[in-house]
Amino acid sequence: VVGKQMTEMLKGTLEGIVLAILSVRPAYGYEITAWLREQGFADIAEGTVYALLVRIEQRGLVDVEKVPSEKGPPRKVYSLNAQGRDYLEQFWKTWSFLAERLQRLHEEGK
Amino acid sequence: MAAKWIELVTGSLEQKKQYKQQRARIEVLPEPYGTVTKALQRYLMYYGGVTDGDTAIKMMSDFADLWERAATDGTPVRVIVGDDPVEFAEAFAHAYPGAQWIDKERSRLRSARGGRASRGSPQKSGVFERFQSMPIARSSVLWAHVLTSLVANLTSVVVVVLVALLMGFRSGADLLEWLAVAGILILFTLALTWLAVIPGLSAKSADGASALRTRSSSCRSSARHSSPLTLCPARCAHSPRTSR
Repeated sequence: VVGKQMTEMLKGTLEGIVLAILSVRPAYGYEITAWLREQGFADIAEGTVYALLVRIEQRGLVDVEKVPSEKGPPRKVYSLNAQGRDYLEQFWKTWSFLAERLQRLHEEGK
Repeated sequence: MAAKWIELVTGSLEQKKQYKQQRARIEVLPEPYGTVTKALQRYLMYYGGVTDGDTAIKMMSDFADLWERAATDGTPVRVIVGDDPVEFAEAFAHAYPGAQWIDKERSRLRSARGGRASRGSPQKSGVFERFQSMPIARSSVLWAHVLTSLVANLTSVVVVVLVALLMGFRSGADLLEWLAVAGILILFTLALTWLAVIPGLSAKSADGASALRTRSSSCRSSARHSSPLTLCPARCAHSPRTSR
C-alpha cells in the first residue's frame, strides 16, 4: 500500500523532480535514474524515467545532444533550456502552494 | 499524380522506409530483449493508435535507443520496465503528442458535451484511421473492398446465368470455354473495381466516394447484363466507404 501510494504521488511530481535535477547539470537517462535511486526513490524503473524524458523533449523543455559512447548507441544527454527553466519555476510555485496547504491541513488535524 | 495515388494506398513510402529501418533495430536485439520489445511494440501499436507517420517513426527510434542501450549494458528487463510493463508502455505512448486514432472520438465527445451533435455522417467515424493505426498493410482494406465487390458481382453473374438457363438459354461452349469466360469476367471486374477505387480515394468525403462508386458499379452491371435481378444497389448501400 505504501509503495503504491508513493508511485501515485510520484507520477505527478516526477517531471518537476527530473527538471530540477537537470537544472543543476545536464545528464543522461541512466544518471538520472541512478541519482533518484540514491535519494531513496528505489522503485523507479528506468523506462519510466526514459518515457518522462521523451515527454519533456517532445514538449520542448529540454535540449538533447547525442554523445557517442564506447559501446552501443550514442547516449542522449538532456539539458534544461529557457522554456524548461520557466516551467520549473512554475512547478516550484505550485509545489510550495500544495506543500503549505497540506502542512496546514496536517496541523489542523492534530 | 500517379505517385500521389500510389502513396494514398501505401502511405508515404519514405516514412515507411524510415519506420522499417527503426523497427529493424529492435528485431536484431538479443534475448531476452527481443521477445520483450516485440511484445511491447505490439501493445504500443494497439494502445497508441498513432496515425501520424512522423510520430510513429520518432517513437520507434526512441524505443530502439532505449533497448539497444539496455542490451549493450546488460540491464535486466525488469529494471527498465518496472513491476508492470503495461504501465511502462502506456507512459511511453503518452509521451508523444502526435495524432492518434482516438483523437477523433475525443473531439466528438467534447462537442457532444456542448450539446452540439457531431457533424458529418456516421460513416465518418474514423474506421479508416483505426485501420491505419493497426499493424496491417494499408492496401489490405482496399483489397478487401475490391474482393468483396468481385464476389458480389460474380454471384450476380451466376444468378443471371442460372435464370437464363431456366428460361431456355443454351450454349455450345464446353467447360474450357466456360472457364475462359469466367476468367475474362473476373479480370474485367477486378480491373474496373480497381479503376473505381481511384476516384474513390480522391474524393474528399465518404459521400462523394460512394457516389462515384455507385455510378461506376451500376454502369458496370448495365454494361454486362441489364437484368432486373441487379444486386448492385443493395450492395452499394452496405459496402464500406472508400473514404480516407
